[in-house]
Amino acid sequence: MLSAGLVACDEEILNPVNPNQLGTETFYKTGPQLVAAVNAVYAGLQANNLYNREYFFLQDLLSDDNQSGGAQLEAPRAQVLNHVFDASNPLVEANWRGWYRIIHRANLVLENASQATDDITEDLRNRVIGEAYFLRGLAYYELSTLWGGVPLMTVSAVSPEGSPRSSQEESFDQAKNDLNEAISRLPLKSAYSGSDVGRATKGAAQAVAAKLALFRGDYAGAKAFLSEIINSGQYDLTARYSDNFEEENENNIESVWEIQFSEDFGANGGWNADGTDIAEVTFRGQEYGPNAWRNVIPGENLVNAFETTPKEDPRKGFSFYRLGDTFNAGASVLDESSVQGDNSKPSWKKYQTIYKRANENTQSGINFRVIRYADVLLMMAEAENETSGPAAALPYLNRTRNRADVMMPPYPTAQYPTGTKEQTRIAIQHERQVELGGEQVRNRDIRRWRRAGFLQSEPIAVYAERYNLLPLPTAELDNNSALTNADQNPGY
Amino acid sequence: MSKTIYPKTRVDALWQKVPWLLLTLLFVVCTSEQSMAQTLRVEGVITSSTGETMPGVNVLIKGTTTGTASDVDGNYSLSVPSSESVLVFSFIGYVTKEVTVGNASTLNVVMEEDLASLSEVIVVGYGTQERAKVTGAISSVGAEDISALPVTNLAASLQGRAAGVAVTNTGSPGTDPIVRIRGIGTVGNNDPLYVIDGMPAGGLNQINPADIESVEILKDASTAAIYGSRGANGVILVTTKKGKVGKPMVSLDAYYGSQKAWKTLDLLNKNQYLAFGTELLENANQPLPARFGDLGEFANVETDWQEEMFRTAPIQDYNLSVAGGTENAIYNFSLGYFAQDGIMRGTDFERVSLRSNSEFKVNKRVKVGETLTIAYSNRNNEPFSGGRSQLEHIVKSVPYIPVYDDTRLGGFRATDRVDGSDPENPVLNATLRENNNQDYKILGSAYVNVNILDGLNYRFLVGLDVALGNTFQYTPSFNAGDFSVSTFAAISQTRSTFVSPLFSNQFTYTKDIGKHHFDLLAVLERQTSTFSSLTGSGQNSLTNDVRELQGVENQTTTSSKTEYALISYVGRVNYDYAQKYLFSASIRRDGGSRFGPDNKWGTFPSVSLGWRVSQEGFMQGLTALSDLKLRASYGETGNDRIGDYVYQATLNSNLFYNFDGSLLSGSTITALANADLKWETTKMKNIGIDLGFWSDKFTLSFEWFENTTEDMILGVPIPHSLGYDGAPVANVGTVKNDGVEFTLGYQLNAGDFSLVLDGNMGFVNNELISLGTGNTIFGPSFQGDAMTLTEEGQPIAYFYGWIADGLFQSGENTSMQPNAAAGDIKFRDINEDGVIDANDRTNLGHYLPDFTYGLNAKANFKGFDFTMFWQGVSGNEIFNNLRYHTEGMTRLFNASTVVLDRWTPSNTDTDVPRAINSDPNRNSRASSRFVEDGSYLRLKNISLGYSFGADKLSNWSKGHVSGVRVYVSAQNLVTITDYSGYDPEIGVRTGINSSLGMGIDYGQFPAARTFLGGIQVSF
Repeated sequence: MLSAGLVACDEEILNPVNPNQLGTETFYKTGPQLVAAVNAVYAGLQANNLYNREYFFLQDLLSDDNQSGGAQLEAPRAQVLNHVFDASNPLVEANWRGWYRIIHRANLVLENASQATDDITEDLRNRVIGEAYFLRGLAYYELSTLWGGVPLMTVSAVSPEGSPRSSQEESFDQAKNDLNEAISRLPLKSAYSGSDVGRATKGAAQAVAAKLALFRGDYAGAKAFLSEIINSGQYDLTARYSDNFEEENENNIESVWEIQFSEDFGANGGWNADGTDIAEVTFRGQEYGPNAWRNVIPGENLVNAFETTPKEDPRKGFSFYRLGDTFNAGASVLDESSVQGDNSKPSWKKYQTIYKRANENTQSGINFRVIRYADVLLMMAEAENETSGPAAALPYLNRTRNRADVMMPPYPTAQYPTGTKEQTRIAIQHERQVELGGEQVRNRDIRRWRRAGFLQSEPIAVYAERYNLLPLPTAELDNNSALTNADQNPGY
Repeated sequence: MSKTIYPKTRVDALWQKVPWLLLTLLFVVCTSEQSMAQTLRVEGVITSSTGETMPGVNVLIKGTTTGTASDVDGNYSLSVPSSESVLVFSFIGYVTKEVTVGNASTLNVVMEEDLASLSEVIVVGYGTQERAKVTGAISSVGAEDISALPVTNLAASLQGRAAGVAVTNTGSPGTDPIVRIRGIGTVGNNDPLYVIDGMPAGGLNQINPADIESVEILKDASTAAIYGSRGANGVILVTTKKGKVGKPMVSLDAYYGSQKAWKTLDLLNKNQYLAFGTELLENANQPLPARFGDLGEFANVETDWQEEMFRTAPIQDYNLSVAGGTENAIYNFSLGYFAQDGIMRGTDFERVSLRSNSEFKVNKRVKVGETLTIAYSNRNNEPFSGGRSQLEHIVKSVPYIPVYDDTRLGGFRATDRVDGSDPENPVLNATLRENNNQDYKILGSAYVNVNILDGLNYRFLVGLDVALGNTFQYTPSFNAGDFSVSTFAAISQTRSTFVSPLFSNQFTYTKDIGKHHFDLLAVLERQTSTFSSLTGSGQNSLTNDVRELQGVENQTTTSSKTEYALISYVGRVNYDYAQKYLFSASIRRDGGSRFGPDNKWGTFPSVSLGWRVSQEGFMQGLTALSDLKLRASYGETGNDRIGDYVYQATLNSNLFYNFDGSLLSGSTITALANADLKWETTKMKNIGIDLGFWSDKFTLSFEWFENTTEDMILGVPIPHSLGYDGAPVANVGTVKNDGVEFTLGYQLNAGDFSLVLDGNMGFVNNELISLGTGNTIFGPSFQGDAMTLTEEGQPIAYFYGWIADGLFQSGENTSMQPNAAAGDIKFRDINEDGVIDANDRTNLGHYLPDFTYGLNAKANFKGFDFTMFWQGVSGNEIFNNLRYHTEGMTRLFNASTVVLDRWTPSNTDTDVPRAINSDPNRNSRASSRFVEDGSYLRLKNISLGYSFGADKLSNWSKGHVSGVRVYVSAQNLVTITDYSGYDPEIGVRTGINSSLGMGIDYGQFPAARTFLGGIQVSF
């Protein structure tokens, strides 16, 4: 009967401490913990939902940069490409979810940053807050430009209840305010070294802010951001165009904002939707590769856009592989049997790893150069053209053509005169298309120009009015108590 | 229904002896003085019909209070007033016998077992009880029924055996069946609690079904509430075989059988595939794969992938046991070996188990005993690669691709770029990829029983459940085709340890005051558990021969640990008056570690009443009615089946980002915590009637129940816009299950022929009464569509989607579906607003059957025995998601022959839509197209055996062999169903909200049709 006492005395066993994970109340107390908190936001960018896979697919399939590589393109992707998708589309849902994950994690940094007291300088705190604002602003830029008005989450949720949609203007403003906060706090790119390289910079925040301003038609506003970037002395074009798409020369002089990937840490985690574990690789090479899955290939509009006189634009050869091209560091030749689908058409070369090896796999380590200085210059050309006219635009517009290994004749050319603002717009649109093809830029460019009425003709043959905005994912409407199907964008 | 009969002498022989000895002594003392006046002395031996002597039998002179009881050897001795005196011999569980003394001085008596329900003793929580006095709802399944089927897991053998217990078997060897008692009480975890010899434990795959004496299923509050916070989903009590007094009885059981898939699907052959693929792509203006024009080396290949993957597989089982005992020690040792190859390549299960149960009587007041199982199992699981099941690969595989190619690394062949299709070779997966579990189990208990005072007993029980697991996953480097290349060997190993000790103090007190009978119970106990695991993985690009983590690249190591604790206080009163009026009440207070500071403790009461009407004097005239009992109970039980620590907000630190090649870790909050989390409570009401006619030749039980679960625990699906990845676990609503159950029995004995029929049937209705969050809850999604919806006023997780309303014909207006063309599916405009959108989704059916049933027939004629067991469900739907792959026509893969009837301009009278790659109209969306009737009736088992009695064997065995039985049986010989998938028994994908995805067929293993022969020999 003594054993009876043994059994029940110690009720402390009912209050176990989780040995695997830290409690929230003990975190966010030191500088390194705050840095870890913001690192987790970056980790979300590598999720399968975003740059590991679904981000580049959604952007590229919505634009005319791509066409189907053949029967192997999965149905939900083909539905986006063919513009026959609805609110249940998994790509749309994945991207939505991926960006809100970024927002949530950034909110945690912002609401806890003031708690850190140990091992922290005010400069570091300021930088981390700036990084979080940048990442949240980037997410709201992505969401508001594609979905229109979205639920605005500015603090981390404490209950399962959702928030209602705000208007598109409010969502734009949220992105703008976040980016302004970031610009005021973030350092210049040159301030980073070692394991801080790749963090958000003032220039990156200014570049996203400029993209947002352009999207809203605020050309003067965009110009202000862009000129600060250009005048910062932090950036230049690389001499070699392909340095922007290969595994070497990452985070180079031309890089404004990059998503980091690496093969050095193994292939695990690539399928993780949320970016947990060591998930440092992207499927991009395998998905598009000429001798890999080749799910998509360059679209006809893009292939035909490259100038042929007085010479063929060298960027065409830098962007695409054709049968007969060498790869694998010159050791292999692309032949018919190694390319599936209609192999008379070109395949992607940008962001492919076979320039230096025989085969792609699902673990490419090539960084996504999300914003390059070339993009900044061309945005400046656009802003100048709209505010001051062609003469002010041309110096910026011709920079990319003057790259050492491009050397295309400067505008105006016979094909692209720049006598008027309207003519210059067409030249700018052309230059962006060929310079930035396959870099997930075209989708939003088309939307922006469509919005402004700048398009000569609709570039997406299968476009229909309802696709002006993406549908709110069915899963969001289903589970968000503040939304009903009446909140859906028109036409879905 | 099958019942185990426990004559008191066998189960509680020692328990019984102590008090009766005392009583006997008492009588001896009391009656000694009177002996002088007596004129006649009678003595004798009391034996049972099987010849065993019976101690403790009550002997009374009729019409007096004078009497005695038999001693340990069954002897009695008594003085009677005259030769006319009548002696009344009574013993619980036996027919009371009256004998006139006459002139005999020696009167030997044979007691007959009372086959009426009164005689049965069944196992209940923390003890045993006579069935006649049970006031709750308990189903019992005996050893014979449990061992009738060749199954790995004892839960599988419960299928169809008990009313209100729904068991879904999954075909893969060694996978746990799904057991649901009285419907689904929660959208969370619905698994019942398993208690093995008093020890709440898991890991049923390591328990040898041959070691089981009986299984009791506690279905209502009066029986299950004693398990408090773990009782809401019902409790399954497992009792293993104990020894009994007698010379060592050695038995050897063995069977060997052969299994085969009962069904395969009709898939396209090569030419059909080529024609289908051509149309699929041409309709979408896609170029044809280059190979279509010239098959080249594959011109003569015709691979039937199902034929390659499904095989005739052996199943075998051997059990050797020794049982026996003396008055002071009883024992049962057994050794078992079971091996089953799966009908699908790459799957198998093997178990070696050892059991030792024994009990020792130290002295008159103290007994000690133990139960122990040690088992080892080795299981090869279906490899999941690319997140897809093997069945999915099988149905998608291209028929002109050969299985093997010796010239390639690994020896297998898969598709190339020029094939335009990239299923994985399932035979390669089954052969080269390993997904192996080795589990070691030690499950045991030791107890000491002390008889403190007359009627007062104390039992101290220590239980220990230890499970050690090794998981080994391995993929070698291979090159089978352009998209089937592994450039390195991937190795992953996991070691896990689960240790759960139980300390239980149990006091029981039994007291009779006149016709008032009391049984009291008090328990104080504590169970804890610790689970820890360590996983290492890495890649080896140099060799396939080293399968350990030596010299590997990208090596990673992770570990984790969780702890659980439960402290409980239990009390129970059972009372009856003259075995006629029955009352029972229990209460349990549980403190658990899984809940927040303010909600750690929960109290779970129950009360029940019974009236054995047939014992009333006014009923005695109704001779046909041998038993009539009314029962009613009410009580509350809980459910604590959630993960550990879920109420605590914690950081996820398993996040990484490489800044220019430097890998840094990140921490964030990825799951929304809920500090207010508390027990899920189920209020259970039960009313039962038991009837027996003509000496219980015909029996009928009827139960009505209503279970209301409040504060239902759910991993609440949250909007993506919150940014969390983990669903918060919360108490969200109320669900009600009500229904009725019938159990019928019939037995016939006519000379050499006997027949027993058992039938049971359960009806259950499920309804979500309220949902606290005000939200509806969407279940798992596929291709962006939620496949189930849970909302107030409806059963939990009904199938959800659009209604397919035929096909568009040429020239028909498709404006409601802008992406549709002729041959596409027309979906119904539920809200009649002129467009087909998310608002047009509706209820497509439900997986819960209207009723489940089982019918068992046993017949014996001379040495022959015959049994037949049918089991079925009726009125349920299945979401056949495998048809997305076999009939969806979304992308170039092989398909079912159903697509041969696809719509074309010349084949318009069909409901199969046109073939068009990428499916612009989303014909394959979640819709009624894939929802089917899931009713089935299955001949689970049919067997014929012959027993050679000892007399027939004695010629050659010289008495060493006491019995031999040989038998043949077949399982799943007949399945009657309209379901088009592999099997209508649908398993579930795991996860806390798996209850929201029940009945979705993601590719279900077909059940095995087994033929086997066996022999049982006893020495």
